[in-house]
Order: sequence, then structure tokens, then C-alpha cells
Amino acid sequence: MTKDLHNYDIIIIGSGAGGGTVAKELASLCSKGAKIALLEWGGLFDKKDNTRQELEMAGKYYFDHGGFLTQQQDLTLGFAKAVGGSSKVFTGTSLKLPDEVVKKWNVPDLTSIDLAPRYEKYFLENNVHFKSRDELNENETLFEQGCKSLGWDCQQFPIATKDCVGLGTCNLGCAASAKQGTAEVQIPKAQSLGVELITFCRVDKIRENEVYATIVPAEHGLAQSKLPVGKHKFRAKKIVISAGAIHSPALLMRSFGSDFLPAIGRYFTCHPALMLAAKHPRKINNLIGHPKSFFVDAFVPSHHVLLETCMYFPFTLAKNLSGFGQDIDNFIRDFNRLQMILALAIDPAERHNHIGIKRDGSPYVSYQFHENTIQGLLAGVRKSAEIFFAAGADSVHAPGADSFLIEKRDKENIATMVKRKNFKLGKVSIAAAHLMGGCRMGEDARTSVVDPWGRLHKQKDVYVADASIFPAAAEINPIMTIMALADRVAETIKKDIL
Amino acid sequence: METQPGRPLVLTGLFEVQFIALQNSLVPRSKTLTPEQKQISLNIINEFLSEKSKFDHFRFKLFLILIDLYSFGVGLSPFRLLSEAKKQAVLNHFFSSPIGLFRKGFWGVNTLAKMSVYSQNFIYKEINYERKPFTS
Repeated sequence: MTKDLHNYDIIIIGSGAGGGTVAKELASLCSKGAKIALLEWGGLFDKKDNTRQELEMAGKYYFDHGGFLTQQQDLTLGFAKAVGGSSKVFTGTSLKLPDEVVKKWNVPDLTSIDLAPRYEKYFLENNVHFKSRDELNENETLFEQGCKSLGWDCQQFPIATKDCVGLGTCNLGCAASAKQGTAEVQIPKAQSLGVELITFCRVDKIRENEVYATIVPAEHGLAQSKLPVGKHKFRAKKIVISAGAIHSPALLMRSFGSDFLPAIGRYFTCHPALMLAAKHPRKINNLIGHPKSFFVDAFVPSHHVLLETCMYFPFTLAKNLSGFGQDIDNFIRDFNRLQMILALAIDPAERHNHIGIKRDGSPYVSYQFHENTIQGLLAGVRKSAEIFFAAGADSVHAPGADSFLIEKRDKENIATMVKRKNFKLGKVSIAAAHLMGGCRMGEDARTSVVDPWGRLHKQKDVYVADASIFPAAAEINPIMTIMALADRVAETIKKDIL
Repeated sequence: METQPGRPLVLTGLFEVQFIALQNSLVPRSKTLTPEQKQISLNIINEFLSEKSKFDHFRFKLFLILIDLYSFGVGLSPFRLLSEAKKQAVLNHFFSSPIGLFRKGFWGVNTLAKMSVYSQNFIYKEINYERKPFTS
């Protein structure tokens, strides 16, 4: 039985990079009398709630502890449930969509010129800047040195942080609240202008101008929702879905049927990634400081792989090392000698890779690796090994190699030692956190779910504003593009309302 | 992580014994755990599994049984009673199996074993992992 009926002008579902941005951009309407609600399934974390304990924080922030398995069980997906969504657990990396990707996406009216001022707005709001040299640790500078000695173009990431103290545990949330995601920037601004944030609010389905939700009990010792636990119904003139690439398509399918649009849930991409590690002959400063400051995108066109610095935690490292037994124990015991690189494959948008819903309405992901994606990961392994050895590493763990480690003496043979036949799905640990597609943009309702401005095809007053509207992979870290596109959607809603 | 109330523990009886044997081989460091650390490692797995579906529990237990069946084929004994060399052979068989389901099942058990040990704080000093001190 529905307990309460709540009337709003605009309801935004999901408070991540997309929903938080829409909330802030529409908040000015509150001063003209508009009632706007931002519904979030997760809770509001304060920095004091962050213990920096690996398993505990993974359980608090992520669906399935960050290990949501695809149907094929050879890929894990990481996405968050909290006010701020996955912007609570990203590393602050802030890039614009490359011009060539904008052109590849080929979405009418979507141009780099249109996006440019939007990026600039969020770079300013979220304090995007380059870390100074003295803020960079050796895990970062060794990557830079390795690339330079190989003659590869290595670039520094602009990072969205403020008063960062270099805790290095960004992917477990920020215990210093230095990371500038929507929870820290856009949502407080939206609330100050009158947007109502409703936490622990799980949206079950929507209908025309109606949202059916359940307020769930608070978790993890966080503050309860402002609404009582139980079923609630909301009415709104406009509904914005920003529940992420997994939950936005799932919500639409639960609401309007799995086949209400041919492309619903389809063309899912995720930049599948391998975490690679090498051991140096000496201790290196790898754990204090920002963990993701450099990247190489030079191999994206040729090898479909992006390389980035990274530094993770003991269990995350152990999980990502391909193997078992004494090899793993021996490698991990010298954590302060380890350098790490993340190799992200740029995967093609294929119709059969999709989000669907099970009988109970919960989402599943079906994802089959394209051979180019696997070759991209292999190229990532080989290129990373070259960087590690060029930086002075003694040994490199290379999934797909004939042995657990490639030693320095064999560094000239990397290309032949890392073999496709060794790289078997299910044997190597592949994970992804850049979840994109499922409600792709386009003009044709046969091949897209929303129009170029985020309006849902065939259903008035519903918009989608998150990474699910990406027509293909972003080929770089997506968060700023999510925000820029959400800004476009908010602009569209304002025009549609007036 | 809290065990979901009302959910039965997955690692009990012979399944617990079997998992401990696997844990000792997959993560040899676990052989040096104190009894308290060992119990914590099992609690971690039970708490994690308590949030999974009954079907996931069934699959996990089925895979443990499969490992034992293969062990009987290799050494006429359950896994826990095999020699170290034969244990490694059994584990390698599943790790590199041409059958995708076996590789994926092994990945799951291997990951749980790693989680039970490497997610514990006591290990940090042993492996020279040190976080920057900070109080918010």
C-alpha cells in the first residue's frame, strides 16, 4: 500500500555525476516556485564515516562490494550507491572527450564547441587542476620516467580535488572530503537553492509523470531518510533518470517493458581493465599521494588501450594477480617496492552487450569480449611491462605470460612471452568501472533510447542524464563528460518547461 | 561486514574443512595465521557469502565438491588429504582448465581465499603496506 503521495515539478533519480549536476543546474528554478526532489538509493556519507578499511568501505560504497559479476562471470563491475554516486569513489581524474570521439559518436548537435564551455564550468566548480611536482609520489614519477625513456607521450591528469592530503585511498571514498564530486560540490549548492535530497529512496518504477519508490532502512549507521520507510508515490511534471549505466536502463525496462525501444539496455561498454604490477629492487614511495596522476593515450588508436597509473590495496592487488599460492605471497610481501599500472581496453559498442532485468526486476549484464578488446588488454600488458622495465623494475607480473613473472633479463622478449593462448577469460581478473551505454543518444528511435538532448523517445516528460546515454565508449575517463552532457539535458528541461 | 540475520552459515562442517585446506594451498600465508586470525578469515567469508543468494551458495558448495571429485581421480583422496604436489596439480587443473566454467569457479574460490587473508589489517605490517596516518 502506498503510504504517501508527494507532488513535485521535477524529480531526479540518482545523485551521481549526472543527477547531481542536473540538480544543481535546475536549482535556480526553485526561486521561481519550482519544487525539485533528488532521490538517491544510497545514504549520505560524511568523512568521519570513512575508516579507509578496504573490505569495509568497499561494502559500504559499492554494489556487491565492487565485484558485480556479469552473466558470463569473467568480468566484475564496480559502481557505487551513495549520495554522489560513483563520483564518491573515482580518483578525481577529469578529462574532456577527445574531438575524434565526439566525431565518432556522430550525435546530431553534439559538438566539441557545444561541450567546451560546459567542461570549463565544471573544471572551475570542481577545482580541477594539476598536482604540483612535490605532490607526486614515485609510483607516478616512475611511470613518467619509464614513458619518457621509451619516447612515449605521457600526460598528467587534471584532478578534481581540494586540500588533498595524499591519503591514496580515493577508490574507497575520501576520508578528507578532498575529492570534488557532486556530493561535495553540486548537491550542496542545489540544496542551498531549494532542491530536496531524499536518501535511501529506491525507485522501483515510473509511469507517465509518476514515480513509485520504496524508502528503505538506513544502512551503515548513516542518517535515516527524511521520509518514513515504506512505499511512496511521487508525481512530477518532469522525471530525470540518472541512475547510472546499469540501473537507468533497468528502471526503464521495469517501467515500460524490456522491448519498449529496440535499443534499450543495448550497446553497453565499460573499458575493461587489468591491474598490472611490477617489483623494484628498492623501496619506493607509492602509498602516500594521489594514486592516479599520469596516462598514455597514444596507443588508443592503434592498440585500443589506455594506460594509467594506479595504486590499490592488498586484497585488490591479490585478487588481480593471475595465479595462486606462493607466487602471490612472495610478490605481495614487498608492497613498498611495487609499482602499478592500469591498462584499460577501449571496447566497441556492440548490440549484444546489454543490460537486462531478471524476474525480480533486478539488473543483469551480459557482456562478451570482442577479440579487439582482448588484444587491447594484451597490448596493455606488453606496453606496461616495457614501462615497468624502463623505470627500473626487476620483475613484472604479466597476465598472459608463460610464467607468473617476467624477469628483467627477459625484457627484450616481452612481445613473445605474453601470448594470446595463455590469456583465457576466467583465468585473468578483469574489472571495469567506466560503465557506459544502455540508453544511447541518437535521433532514430530504432537505434537509440534518448534524443541528442536526453529526451526519452516515445515517452514525454522523461529524460536520461548519465553515462547510459553515451552511444559508445568515451575512450577516456568519463566523469566530466557525464557532467557536460547532464548540463545539456538540464538546459533542455528548462527550455521544455518554459 | 555483518552476517545477514537469519541467514545460515555457508562454511560449516566438511565444507569448512575443505575450504581451510584450499585456503592453505591458495594462500600459503594462511598456514601461519593464529587461531583467532583463522577464525576471522572464515568469518569474513561467511559474512560475504551471507549477502549472496541461495543459488550462489549452492554453486560454491558444488564447486568444492567438484574439486574433491577431481582429487579422488588424481590421488584417491579428498583434496585435504592429498600430498602438496598433488594439491598443486589439482589447483592448476582448474586454474588453466579448457572448460571456462571450471576456470571461473576456480577464480571465485581463489578470490575468496585471497580476501579472507589479504583484507585483514594484521597483514599490513607483514607485507610492508602502510597507509598515511590520518584522523578526520
